[in-house]
Amino acid sequence: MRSLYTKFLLYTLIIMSASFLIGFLLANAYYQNNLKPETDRKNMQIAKQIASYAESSDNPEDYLSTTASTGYQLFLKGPEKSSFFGNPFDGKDLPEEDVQRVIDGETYHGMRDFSAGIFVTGFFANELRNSVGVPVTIEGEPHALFLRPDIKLLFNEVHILFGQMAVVIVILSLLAMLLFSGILVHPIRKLSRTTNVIKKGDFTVHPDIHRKDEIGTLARNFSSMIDRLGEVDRLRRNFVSNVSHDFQTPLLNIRGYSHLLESPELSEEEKTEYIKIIQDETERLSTLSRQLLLLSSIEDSGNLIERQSFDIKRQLEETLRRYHWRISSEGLALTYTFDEATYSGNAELLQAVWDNLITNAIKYSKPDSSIHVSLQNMDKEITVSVRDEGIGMSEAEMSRAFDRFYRADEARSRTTDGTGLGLSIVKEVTDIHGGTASVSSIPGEGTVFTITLPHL
Amino acid sequence: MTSILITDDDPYIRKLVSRTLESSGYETYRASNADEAISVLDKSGIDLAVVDVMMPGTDGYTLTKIVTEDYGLPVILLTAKGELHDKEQGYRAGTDDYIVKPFEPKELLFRIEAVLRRYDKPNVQSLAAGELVIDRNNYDVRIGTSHLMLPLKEFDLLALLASTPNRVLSRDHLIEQVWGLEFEGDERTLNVHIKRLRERLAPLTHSVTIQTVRGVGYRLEVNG
Repeated sequence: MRSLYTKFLLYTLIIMSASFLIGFLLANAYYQNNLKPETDRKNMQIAKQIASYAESSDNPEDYLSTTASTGYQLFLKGPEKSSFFGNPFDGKDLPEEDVQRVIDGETYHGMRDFSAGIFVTGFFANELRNSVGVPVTIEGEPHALFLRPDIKLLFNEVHILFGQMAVVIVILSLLAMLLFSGILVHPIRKLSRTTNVIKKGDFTVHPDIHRKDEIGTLARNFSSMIDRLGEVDRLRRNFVSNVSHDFQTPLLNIRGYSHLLESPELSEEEKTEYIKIIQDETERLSTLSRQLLLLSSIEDSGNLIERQSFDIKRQLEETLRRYHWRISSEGLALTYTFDEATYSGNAELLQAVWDNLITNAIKYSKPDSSIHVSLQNMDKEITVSVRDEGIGMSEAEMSRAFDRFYRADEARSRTTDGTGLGLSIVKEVTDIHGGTASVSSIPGEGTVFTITLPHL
Repeated sequence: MTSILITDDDPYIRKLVSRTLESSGYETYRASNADEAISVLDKSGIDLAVVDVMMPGTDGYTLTKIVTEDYGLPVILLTAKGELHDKEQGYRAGTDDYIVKPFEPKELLFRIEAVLRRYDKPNVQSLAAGELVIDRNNYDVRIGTSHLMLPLKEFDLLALLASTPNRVLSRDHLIEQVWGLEFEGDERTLNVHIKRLRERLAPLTHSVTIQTVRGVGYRLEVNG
């Protein structure tokens, strides 16, 4: 199982082994470089003392074997015989000439000069070469006495103690690691279970994790992400049901009224009325599909829109000119004041903004009133405002004005071919230009829509 | 009678547009492509061409170029998309106006009327009265840096009054010039239009006022 548990255990073991190895190597290096001469010196002193005692002893061999039993390994080389005292050496080879030199009166510094491999501690090497040697005169004959502390004897218990300690440390660390990784792994498993639920489309679950560390932060972020996803999902469902409703209703009307038109005993008045209804409904469908297409193209492009510098003043003037006939046929007047301005943005999308704002203003204007449009070109931004002298909006209506499919007045909108998408297009287009769309209104007096577009 | 050529490859649109125009008193000719259009232009006295952009064979831009340059006639382009690119290409080809499908027949009529007016009186001078500059070609009233777009009847009324500043124009004269001889509306219609004009001008300028001359008519007075 490649679970986090096994990984934690494995890594702990690897870390422990690695630190042991590194610790060993460092200690060995320290011994080789710093401790060796010191050990050699200490042992040389002891050897010399033992030699001088042995020289003055009545029975040197007895003395040496007693000394050996206090924790030393000794080797005595005489002209005729050589003898070992204490525990045997693992390696007994010692060059003849070295022995001879000691017999001749020199000292032998095997401990100092002993060179061991990287992985062998000189300190523990139980070899005859790794000893100190001193000349000693026994029964008038020159001998050589080699000495090395019996590490095994001296440190055996310490070894066992340290060994047990190491084993306990390893086992406890591994257990603690398991426990600790449990603390980490548990919430992660919870999060993973939650994602599985969300994958099935349930956005009501939240991971039950309350912590103050990074995992707690992750869980909180995760929770708010779920909320956001749930909200998006809800909007999408609403959107789809709204769209199908908004398509179905006019279709139903068109079908119904065209059937009514087939009836021969209709008055001219009724005919005209039914035809008008069919016209209005097709207009609604046409607007709706155009707006949906635009919205989806905005969403597809995300924030990566194609920007080009264009004469925004001219665009607005042309837009107003195009609506002149509608403004005129509604008996409305329009005043406009435009600064000279070029803007780097997506002209096609912005065209949709002006279209929506102006048709909106026309739609909600009172008879014989005026619409006021202005374009102000400032250092950092362009502000376009469209003000009507219409029915206005309440606070609640304003707060929802830019929502998709929201219509200030359901009943009235039915007669003014609103799709409820226009202002949400306005908002999304300004958003992707990094600008803002805002509305302020006094019920009964009129509404101002203000679009602010920052210069790049 | 004014004759209008409709060029579109869709038979329903041709029929729809021509019916709409005929019901408003225009004579219409139909063509389904550029070649047909050119042969109609050669045979009949056409005053204005309505041209669809997307056509098989020679496209609408090319036809527009031919109509404007070789025949010197005004063109209104029909385009399916409101794309800026299309518009610019259209204006480069020499179109006088463009209209985006789907359009309301009323809108097309309004555009045709405006384009024809511009062609009939190509050099109508702008009128100045007080701070007002009245551009009769574009139905535009400029006051300083602001512009005022009026309903057409109100514009005509203002232009008429401004053409003879400080002189009284009689009610009958105004009604005849603005609404035509056949006008059968209420006497009050003129009063209402004058009232609205005053309301609309008041917040914009004090340099002109429309004075009522009792029993006679109205006078546009330039102040100061």
